[in-house]
Amino acid sequence: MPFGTATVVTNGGKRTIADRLQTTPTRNPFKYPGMGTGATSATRTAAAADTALSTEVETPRTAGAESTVTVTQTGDTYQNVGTITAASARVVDEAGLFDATTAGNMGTSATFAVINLATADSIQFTWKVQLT
Amino acid sequence: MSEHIAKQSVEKMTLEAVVIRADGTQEDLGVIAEYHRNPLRRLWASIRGVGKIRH
Repeated sequence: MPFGTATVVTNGGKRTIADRLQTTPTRNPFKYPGMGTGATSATRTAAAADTALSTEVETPRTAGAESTVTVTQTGDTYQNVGTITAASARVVDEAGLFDATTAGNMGTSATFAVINLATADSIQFTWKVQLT
Repeated sequence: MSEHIAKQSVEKMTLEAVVIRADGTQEDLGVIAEYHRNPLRRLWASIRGVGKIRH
């Protein structure tokens, strides 16, 4: 599939959402935002089967600020706000939410037009996932 | 009694980005990727140019 703009809840993310409805969930929440630079060269568009970014940069990850916000029904949307700082010049074109600071499962996946960063520039990502 | 099986899935998903340059200046890129379960809403997002990053 050619590179394109998209964002999805991955199959792993759906599994986590279902798991965490249990009294005692076994999977961790995907609260760690990550970003990468490899989607364009990999001619990849975000898809449900994604399990990792093509070329993730700036790890280990740091947890984003989580909350629920109201879009249609009270508290129907999960929100995660996290900032990632570039350690060197980066051409960012992919991002995801993970359940660990390194490796782990990717719960959401996105590919987008490149964002050029110089060293010490940052991106604040805000993910919103509305359930119905 | 009829059985209603509602389609339960993600209604909408967005990823927004703000670039914070090393000197502190901020560039709000808005929504850089979006999904909506309604295909017409997805088409509308495409027409609006979601994902076309302004530099």
